[in-house]
Amino acid sequence: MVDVAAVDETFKRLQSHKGVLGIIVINADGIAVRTTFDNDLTVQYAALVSHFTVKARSAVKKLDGENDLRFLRIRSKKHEIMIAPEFEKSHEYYLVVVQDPSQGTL
Amino acid sequence: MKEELVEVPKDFGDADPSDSRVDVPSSWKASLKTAGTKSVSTETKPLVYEMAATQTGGSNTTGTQTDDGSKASKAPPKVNASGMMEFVKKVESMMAGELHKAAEEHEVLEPFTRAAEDEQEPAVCIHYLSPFQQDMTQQDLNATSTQINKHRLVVTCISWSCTGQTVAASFGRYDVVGWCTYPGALTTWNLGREEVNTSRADHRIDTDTCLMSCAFHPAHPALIAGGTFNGEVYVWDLSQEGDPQRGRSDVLLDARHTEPVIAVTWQYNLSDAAKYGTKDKSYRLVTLGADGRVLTWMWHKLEAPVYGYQLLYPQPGIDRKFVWGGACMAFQREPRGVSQQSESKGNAAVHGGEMAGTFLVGTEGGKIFKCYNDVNDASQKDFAKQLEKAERVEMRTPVREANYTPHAGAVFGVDCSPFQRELFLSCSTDGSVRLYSSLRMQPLLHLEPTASYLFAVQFSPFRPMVFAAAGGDGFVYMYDLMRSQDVIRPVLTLDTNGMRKPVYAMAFNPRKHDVFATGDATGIQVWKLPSSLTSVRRGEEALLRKTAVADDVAEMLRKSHGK
Repeated sequence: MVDVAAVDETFKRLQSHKGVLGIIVINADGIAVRTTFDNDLTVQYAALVSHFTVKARSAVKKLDGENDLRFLRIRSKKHEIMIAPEFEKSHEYYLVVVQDPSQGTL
Repeated sequence: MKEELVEVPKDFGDADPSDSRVDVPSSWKASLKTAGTKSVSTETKPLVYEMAATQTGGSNTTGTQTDDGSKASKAPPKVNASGMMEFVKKVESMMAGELHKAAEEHEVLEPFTRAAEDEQEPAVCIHYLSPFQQDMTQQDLNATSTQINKHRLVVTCISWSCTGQTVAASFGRYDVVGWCTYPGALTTWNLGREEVNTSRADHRIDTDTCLMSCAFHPAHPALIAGGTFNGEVYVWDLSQEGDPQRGRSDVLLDARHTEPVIAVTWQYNLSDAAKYGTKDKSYRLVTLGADGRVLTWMWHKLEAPVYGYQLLYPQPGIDRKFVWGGACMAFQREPRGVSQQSESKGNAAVHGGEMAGTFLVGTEGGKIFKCYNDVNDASQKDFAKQLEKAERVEMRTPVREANYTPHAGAVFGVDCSPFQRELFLSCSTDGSVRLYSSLRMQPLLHLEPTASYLFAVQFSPFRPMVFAAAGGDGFVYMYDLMRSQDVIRPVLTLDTNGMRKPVYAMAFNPRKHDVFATGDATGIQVWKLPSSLTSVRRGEEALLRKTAVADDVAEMLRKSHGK
């Protein structure tokens, strides 16, 4: 079983960064395993981000079969969406952090 | 017929025809013989009862159920979550690093994102207020001259109450030559009400001559001062029932304005604050007349001014001093931090901003004077004594500095930065807006938004780098130096009336960040400003401080923009 406390601690550490709005861990099926967002937002992020990540990865892989995707950052007008994927069969997950870098700096 | 009569006796054949009588014994009350009696009876068949019962077969209950999808989908992660720990541990450092990077990059890239935001949202006109328009809500049959703007009055000045709820406008005319025979008016609208009647002011005070300026008290929401074309100064209390007038200056006194009162401001006075102890009496009125006089009044003793100055300054080439006609006035304000804004403004420490005695006067001749109000108790007493003796009052000049590069036309607008003490703006009929530092003679910035006259200029009370200039072409030009490109252009232009009628007055709301009012020849427009002009940007105050000391402001702004 997952060591819940340890994961929680990691979440807390990430959350303490400037302007972090929320964190989600998504599994290979595009289902949020852990989240700090509310349900609706989580489901949306999970579905959209996992699709996007798979697409991005396939682009990288098609360009060079030996290459692989390591990290994704989507900068939008309001947010910064960061995705750290892991594609190993045994534990395929995506860690998603949504940040508003302008927050807390004003 | 005859035959029948004959036949009748035949039926009574046994009758004795001799006397033609027939006796028929009466049967009345005689017993009738009946046929022999017989007892008869009938009988029904006896009733037979039978018991019978029927029954249907017993019922069956069955149920079907689908799987709860959401529950089902939640189950697998529990199973699949194995290895999550390793995963989270593995990516955490990478994520943390990226978060740091993002924050750093944001700082660096901020100016570029700002540039990308270049498309400016427009401001929205939320109210159009005019006492001279047809009242749509009430059909007023005895509409008189007050309903119709027959004197073609224009808005000469706009002021917001200290609560930011009420907007006041003075009505008068700028094109009067000689005697003013037009009545003026002061109108106020409370915009905090649920329904605002845009054609009927909440208060309307008519004055004998054009009203040229007005100013709400900075602490008392109902006190308002106004100055008329013939130099009278009034104070009204709008909260009073009946006649709102609280004070009026003496029109025959020697120490008075002999020309239109161009500007009215309230100044915090420490000695008055100590003497009266009430917030509303801690303020004095300072008025500027087109006659070049700067008079100080106590609003509750408005008969005579407390002190007076005259804008005496030699014209270049002539050593005799003569009086310059004032056209606008603004007091320097103690800088306040952006962070302080939200705090209550009730205390004297914040009001200290209005205590500073330095003020700037724009003149009809295009010169800008920096003046100092050094009035103290002794000079006040002297002044009062002179007044008492009805002597001709000698007024000193308050001018301390007059060598600022002059405008080519009358300076109708001047405003001091609420964030940086020495910075001030001026605008003129030459169509230029200038940013000056009061410590330097050359303007820091020279902007020309339009070829037509400019009547007013004002700093935003919330954004240190934002200011607006009102033009004679009906536009208000909003500048945001934070977002200036290579060429400093207005970021937003408000078309106030669509008819190119001049905008004479404007005012940022002191409380509501996004509310702004303009006044033109037709009435008052109340605008809702876009958030890009109202929310403070990072480093804005620092940039303003840099602006004040920079050698080449345009260059400095360009650099800060592209950094």
